[in-house]
Amino acid sequence: MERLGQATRVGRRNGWRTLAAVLAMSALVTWTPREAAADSAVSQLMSYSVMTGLFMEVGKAEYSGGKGNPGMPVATGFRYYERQGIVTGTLTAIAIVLAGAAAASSPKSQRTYQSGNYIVTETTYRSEAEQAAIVAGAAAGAAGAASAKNQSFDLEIFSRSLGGDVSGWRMNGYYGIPFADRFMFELGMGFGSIDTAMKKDSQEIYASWGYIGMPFRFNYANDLFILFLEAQWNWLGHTASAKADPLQVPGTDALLLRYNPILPWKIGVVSNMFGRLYGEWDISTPGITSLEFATKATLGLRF
Amino acid sequence: MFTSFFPYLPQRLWRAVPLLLLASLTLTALPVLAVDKENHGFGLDRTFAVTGAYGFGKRQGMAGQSGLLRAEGAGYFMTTPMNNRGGLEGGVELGYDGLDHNDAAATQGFLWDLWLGFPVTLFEKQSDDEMLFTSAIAPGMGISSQHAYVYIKGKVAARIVPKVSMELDYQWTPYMGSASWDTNSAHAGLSLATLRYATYFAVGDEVSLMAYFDWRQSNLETPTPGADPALQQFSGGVYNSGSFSPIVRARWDNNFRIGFGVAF
Repeated sequence: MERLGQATRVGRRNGWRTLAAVLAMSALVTWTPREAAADSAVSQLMSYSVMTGLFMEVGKAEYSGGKGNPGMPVATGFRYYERQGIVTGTLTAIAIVLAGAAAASSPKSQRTYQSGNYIVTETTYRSEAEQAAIVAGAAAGAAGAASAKNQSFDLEIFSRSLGGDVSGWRMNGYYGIPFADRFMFELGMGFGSIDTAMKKDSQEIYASWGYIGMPFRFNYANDLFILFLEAQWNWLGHTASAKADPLQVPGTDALLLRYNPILPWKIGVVSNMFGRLYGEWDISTPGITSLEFATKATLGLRF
Repeated sequence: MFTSFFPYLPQRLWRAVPLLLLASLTLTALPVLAVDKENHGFGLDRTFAVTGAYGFGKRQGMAGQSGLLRAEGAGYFMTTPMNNRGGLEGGVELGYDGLDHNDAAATQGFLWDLWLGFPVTLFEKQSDDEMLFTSAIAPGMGISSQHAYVYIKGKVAARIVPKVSMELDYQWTPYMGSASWDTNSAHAGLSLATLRYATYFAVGDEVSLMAYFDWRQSNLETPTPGADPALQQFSGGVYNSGSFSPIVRARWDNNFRIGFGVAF
C-alpha cells in the first residue's frame, strides 16, 4: 500500500517533464512564421485551425469521483483540437456508411410459425433495388456529414507519465451553427473513459468515470479571445453511477469511486494574443449545485 | 473471440478478406482522390504506396516471422490561415504470421490492420519548385488482429539529393488508447510504438521505389493473477508500477520489418 504513495510522489516529481515540454514548445513559437490573416480570434473560431498541446487540470473535475474523493487530483495530458476541419465529419461519414451497409444487408422481416410437425421460419430479404436505395441514402448522408463546414473535434489523452494522477481519454465531435458573425453554437457527440489513482493521508483512492453523451458549447469571439460555455450531458449518468457513494469491494480497503455526473459545466477563455501560441483556461464544475470546482490550463501551438 | 466484438464478422476470418480489401481501397483512395499534385502526404512527393514486408522478432500475443502486404496513402487538401496543411492518411496491412511460430491459433495466422488518421503539417521548407522538408503530426485510429486502438504519429520527410528523399515516422499507441482482443479484462491495453525509416528513389516524375525498415516495441497489459475480479473490472485502466495494481505488464518485445515497394 505504501508503495503506491511512493509511485505517486515520483509521478509528481516528474512534473518537470511537462514544464520542459511546454518550454520547448514556447521556444518553437519564436521561430515559427505567422500569417497576418490569422490575427483575429474571430478567424480562429470561424476558419480551419488545428491546435496540439499539453494540459493540466487540478481539482474536482467531473471524472475525479465527486464528493467521495477527499483528495485534490492532478491531471496532465495531451490535447488535439481541430476547428472547422474534417475529423468529426469523416468519423460520422464512416458510421453512416457502416450503418447503411448493415441496414441494407439485414432481412426485411422474419416470422416463425408451426406447420404440422415443423416449425417454419420465413425470412424476407430486401430486393436489390431496396438495398441500393438504402446504400445511396447512406452515401448522400455521409457526403453531407463529411463536407459540413462548421465542425470541430477535441481529443484529450490523460497520461500519468506526465506527472498526474489520471489516465484515460475523452473525445468530443461537434457540429456548429454560426450566427451574428461572432457567435457559434455547437453540439455533438462525445465519448470517454478516465481512471484516477491517488493517495491522500495513506488512503488509496481509485475513481472511475465513463462518458457517452452530448456536448453543447456556446462560443463568442472577440478580436483577442474566444469565450466559451460548455455543458457535457453524460448519458451514463442516468444510472446508479450518478451517485458519488464509495463502492465496497472485498479484499481491499482502498476507496473506490464510480461517479458519472449528468451535467458538468465549464466556462473558459481561449487567447489569441500570442500568435501561434495557444492558451486556454477554464473553470469547471461536475454540477452547478455541487459547489466543487476544477481549473484547467492548456498550452499549445496553433497550426 | 472475434464474434463477440463483431457479431456480423464471419466465423472464418478468411471470409473477411474481401471486406478488408474493399475497406482498404476506400481508405487509401480517400487521400488520393482528395489531393492534387502539390499536396502529397506520403514522403515528400507521393500519396500512395504498395509494399511487401518481411517481419521478424517477437510481438506480444503473437510470435515469429511474418509476411505482409501493405497499401497506404496520405495527402493534404485543406490549408489553415497560418499556411499549415491538413488532410487524411490511411491504409491496410494484410499478412501471414505463421512462417515459423506455434501460436497461430489466436488469429489462425492471419494478420490484418486497418487505420485512418488526420495529419496536419507543422513546419515545412520549400525551394522554388520542390518541397525540401516537411514535418507533420497525426492523430488516428484503427483496428487490427490484435486490438482496436488510437495512435499519435509524428513524421518528418526530407530531400537528400534531387531524386532521393527519406521519411522518418514514429507512431505511438498508449495502453489507455488500446482495447486488446485477447485478454479477459475489458480495460487491458496493448501498447505499441513503431519507429520507421523509409527511403524513396524517384524513377520518374510519378513513381518512386521505396524501401523501409521499422522497429516496433509492444507490451501487453493482463489482469494480475488472483486480483479481485471486481477490482479488475473497476479500475483496470490504472496501472501503478511497483504497487498494488489489478494490471500487470509484460516485458517489452521487439519486432522488426524490412519492406520494399512502389510509391505513386
